[in-house]
Amino acid sequence: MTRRGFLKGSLGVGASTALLGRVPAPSAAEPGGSVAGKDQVLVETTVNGKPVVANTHQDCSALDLLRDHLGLTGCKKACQQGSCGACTALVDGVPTHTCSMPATSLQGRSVTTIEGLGPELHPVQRAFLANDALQCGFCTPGFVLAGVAFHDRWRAQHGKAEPSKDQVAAALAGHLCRCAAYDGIFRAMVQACAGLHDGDLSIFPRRDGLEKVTGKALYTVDIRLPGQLEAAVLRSPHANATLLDLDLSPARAMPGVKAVIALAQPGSRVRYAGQEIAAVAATDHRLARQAVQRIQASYDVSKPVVGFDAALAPDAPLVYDTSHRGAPVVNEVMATPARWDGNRRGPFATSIFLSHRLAREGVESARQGRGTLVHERWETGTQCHSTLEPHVAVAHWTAPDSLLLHLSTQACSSMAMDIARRWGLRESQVQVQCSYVGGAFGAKATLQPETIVAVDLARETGAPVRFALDRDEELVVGGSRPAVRMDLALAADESSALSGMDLLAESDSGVSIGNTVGLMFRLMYHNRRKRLRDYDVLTNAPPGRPFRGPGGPPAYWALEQAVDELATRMHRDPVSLRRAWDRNPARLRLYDWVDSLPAWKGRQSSARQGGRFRRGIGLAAAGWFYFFAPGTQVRLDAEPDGSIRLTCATQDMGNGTRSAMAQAAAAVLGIPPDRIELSIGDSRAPFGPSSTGSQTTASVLPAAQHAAEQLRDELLDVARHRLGLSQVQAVAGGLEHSGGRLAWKDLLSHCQPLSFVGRRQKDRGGATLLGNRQSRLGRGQAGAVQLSEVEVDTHLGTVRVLRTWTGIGSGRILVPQLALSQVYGGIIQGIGYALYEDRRLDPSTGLQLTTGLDNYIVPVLADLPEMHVHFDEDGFEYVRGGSVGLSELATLAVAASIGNAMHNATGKRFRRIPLRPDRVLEVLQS
Amino acid sequence: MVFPTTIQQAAARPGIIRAGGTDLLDLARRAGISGPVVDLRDVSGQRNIQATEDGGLRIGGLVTLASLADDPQVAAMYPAVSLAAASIAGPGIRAVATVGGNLLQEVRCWYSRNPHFDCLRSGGRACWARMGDNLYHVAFDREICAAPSPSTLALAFVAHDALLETHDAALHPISGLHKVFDRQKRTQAGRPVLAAVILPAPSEGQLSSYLRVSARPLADWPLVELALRMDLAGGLVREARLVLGAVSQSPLRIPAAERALVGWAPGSFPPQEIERAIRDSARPLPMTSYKVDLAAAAVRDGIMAALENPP
Repeated sequence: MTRRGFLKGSLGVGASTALLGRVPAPSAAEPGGSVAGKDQVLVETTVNGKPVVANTHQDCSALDLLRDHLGLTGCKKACQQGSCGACTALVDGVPTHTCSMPATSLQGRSVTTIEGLGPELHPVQRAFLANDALQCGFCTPGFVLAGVAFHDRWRAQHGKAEPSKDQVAAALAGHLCRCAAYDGIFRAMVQACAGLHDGDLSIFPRRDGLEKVTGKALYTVDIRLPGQLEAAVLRSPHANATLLDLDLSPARAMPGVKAVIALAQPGSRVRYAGQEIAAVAATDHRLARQAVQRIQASYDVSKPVVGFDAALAPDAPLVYDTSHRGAPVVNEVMATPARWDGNRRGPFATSIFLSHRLAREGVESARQGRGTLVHERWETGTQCHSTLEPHVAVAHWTAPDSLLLHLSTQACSSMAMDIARRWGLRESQVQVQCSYVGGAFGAKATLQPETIVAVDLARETGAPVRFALDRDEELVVGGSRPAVRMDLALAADESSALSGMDLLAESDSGVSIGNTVGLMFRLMYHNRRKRLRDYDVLTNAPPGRPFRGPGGPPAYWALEQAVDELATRMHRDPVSLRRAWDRNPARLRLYDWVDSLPAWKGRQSSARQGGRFRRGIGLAAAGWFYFFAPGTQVRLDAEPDGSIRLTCATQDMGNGTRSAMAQAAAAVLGIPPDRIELSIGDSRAPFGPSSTGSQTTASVLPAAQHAAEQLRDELLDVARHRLGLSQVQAVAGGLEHSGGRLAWKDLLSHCQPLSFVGRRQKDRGGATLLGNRQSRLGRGQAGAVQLSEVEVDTHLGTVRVLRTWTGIGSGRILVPQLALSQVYGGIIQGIGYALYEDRRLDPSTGLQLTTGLDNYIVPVLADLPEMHVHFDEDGFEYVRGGSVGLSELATLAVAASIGNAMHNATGKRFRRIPLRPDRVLEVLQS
Repeated sequence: MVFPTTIQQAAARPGIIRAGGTDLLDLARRAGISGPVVDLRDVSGQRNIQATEDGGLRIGGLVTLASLADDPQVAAMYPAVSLAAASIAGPGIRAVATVGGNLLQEVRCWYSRNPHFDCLRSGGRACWARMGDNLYHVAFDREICAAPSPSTLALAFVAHDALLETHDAALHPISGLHKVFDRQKRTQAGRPVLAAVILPAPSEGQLSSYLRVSARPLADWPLVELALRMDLAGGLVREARLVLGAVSQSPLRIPAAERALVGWAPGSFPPQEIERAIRDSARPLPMTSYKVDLAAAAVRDGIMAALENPP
């Protein structure tokens, strides 16, 4: 074990490379080859049709050259090792992962980046827009370029024939979309190849789609301010240690290093490998990394606690030995007080209105033969968010008391408030900007070290500072869904009523606390006979963060398989048992839909299958809370020229906020949504919701609608009183009066500029008392049912999901194509969770082993199943706008439905995810 | 760094030999340091696939994986080589990565690539994987370092008894890959540089195949991989090569299984005998016994696949 700097890789070789313009080519080869300085070399190449000569470093990648020196930010840096394809450019027409190609190899080659397509949109770009083949858009330029090359070759060879899914998947292998827009991407490729997008651009649903398919969307990683410095962080290589000594002076002495700050003080405890120790700002990233390596840190190293068993062993070292104050909280909500017992904290009992005694009696009674009992241990792995755009902040103090912060965040408004509080500023002195966010999934909602580092270093240096995590850092400290193990006893009495649910859930979210897996068990199957206990198990691992439906996927993995098992043992149909237990109106309707599906009705029992490949279908149900942000405001500005703009300090991380806002206002006015301009992603705008808890739509939609209603009413007034028209009434696109029609645009030309603030008005019947202006729990819950069909290769232990059917009950669907994209993404992320995603730590040191997207495996296009989605739009009429969120709902029950499908296919119960081949074979052989 | 124009010049220069560079960039990034580089960018030869006088093929060391996978001659003569090349990474990497780089890449062990672990490969004295998380390591344990051989192509070349041609025109059997290209000397001037891989002429009616087992369907590392070649005489197997990958420190031939195939007609092999031969040679680590099961299953499927893809 060395004490070299943690994760010190990642030379962002860039800055030593300077673009020189047109200069003579390198001198001719001397014997033994041409020599171009010690490690510098001139490269002469052609980029987007223009000759380029650049002085580059031997370890500089083609991506560094394109991005950092030519400013072609459509090429994205994401995995840094050729696994994700976000950096793709065409090199002599061939799609190439430029992060894994030396810049020197561009000598004499011709490069086309996304910026070099056009000026007309390519049919593939039009097809991507029409099929909504994107969400956050960060991977999109790479997919588009690979798609363009495939399309052009295909059309030349096959005319307008449609390629197969296997052919498209093979062409796009090595491209990752973390939002999992694979269904749209596949459809787009087939349609483009079939010639369906050779003509003009048709209307498309995603408001910021054009910027994303052309690479024009600027993400926080793409921001470059004049004089901007780059930051790097020294991280602890030890999971459990005390920092003894920290000497920053060798780093400070390096030319080009502008500031070095300590993030931990000698004497302080280090509780996980990767914890921040010190930070450097330097003129370029490569230099900053080198300076980090010069920092001298010494530690008193102790044995770390890695995993549940080590944490709960009788002689385990304590993760929090003296004080646990300041322990980070894993969820967005405050952790409720709980007892600490060694490395175990809890129980957090979800017990109001529940009866522990009745639960235990029910379980005991079933155990003794009066009824049926399923009592099992269920386990889930740790899942990393690994958004393709890493955590990144660019901080710029424009005055001593004024901060401009470009930030990749899902909480524009509330982040500005948190920042103002931390640095003692007024909210008006902080401006957070996040026009485009390259994925978040829960990991970018709160103030984290990457922001603090950038802001502090910017203050120290007086210059703008960018801090972007490298992929290995992103996978280690960028956030994860905790591993959970659940001991669940589920009992039904002789009339098959739910008679007892006894849960003991333990979550390993590293050094963080506040896990609430039990809440899901409370939410489902309304019944008092429940005993739900949540424990945090503290380990020397990085803190967890909220991940799309926090607590949900693990909870349903256990609960919905237990319900299925109980139904099997009682010889009950799984739908009819759930229907008998469930009271959620949305799900009760969705059960009828399940019963109507031919695939479900015709499913085979495992006993009737033989041979190598076994197929099965499984059902799981899920519920999710309805949150909204009561303080949401949307400003509407209407100009005499007829333009209408909506402004709100919310953000679009791929969830479609822009499109939903425009659609809501457009529906009131009866105009096409593309007539409405949008301005989001700036905290100086009126308060907007954070994109957490699936609350964005339920917050911005009613506020946008309210703003548009005010405009409509004002214009009706203008018509009646100022223009003196009679029998005035609103119609689509304008108004009708006794003398004819007037468009809104015509009316606006009679007005001064108008401005209205739309508010998120109360629901009929009000909301619950839980929450505040930023987020409140509404009444009622969204419901979902999920069916998955799997094929298990019993020889190789591999599992493929072939088809899925998803029923969503979350009220009115505003923009159907974008809602579908959200659901599809949730399903495929759920497939990744069930089959592949598996953060691994070395058991003896606690150092993370899965530090790249080559060994932290996420789904690819080849994993795309045939997906069917049904929206039940009833039941939320009392909610303003009629919609509650669905983003989290879509992913909750996927793993559980796969587990039940595995049982249907093989007759075996799989209790641990991910379903790696080694585990599948082990269970099949048992 | 230097840009020699011939591989003979390259051999005379100190530094790490860089062909496609796909992995060396990542290694330099992770390590935070890099030494001198001998970049083969300007080497004009060794980029072709040519017929040899005896009816085989000579594959230049700088041929990209994409060119190898797309070559119709290779596909017709050596299906195992073609399938193996096409299974590696994704097209965006295959466009750049080379035959030589694939054969001589560093292992993919998550300990040896992590700069915080000093292991046998970086001058340390212990193998962390052996004591730690070895889920993706060897199951046919033959050497101290527990990392499996990372080269998919090596497997297919071993199945075909390929020869390695070095810069000095010397020929070496592929089985000596790591002796010829000694990792300890990889930056020293005078170490050999790979010129080409020579595939001997396929025999009449030769069957061959490559099969890869991964968790994810595409662009994933193999858990187990298999290359198989069978030469027939009079409708019976005369000679066989059965080579397993991702399970041992080198591409692993299973001689007992090869012998078990000899003398049988394709499609009528003794499956128990072959499986026993595989299981008998296994030496799994605590977490890799599943790879033995996968290898046994892969061999069954690989034989079937070879029969389905006659040349």
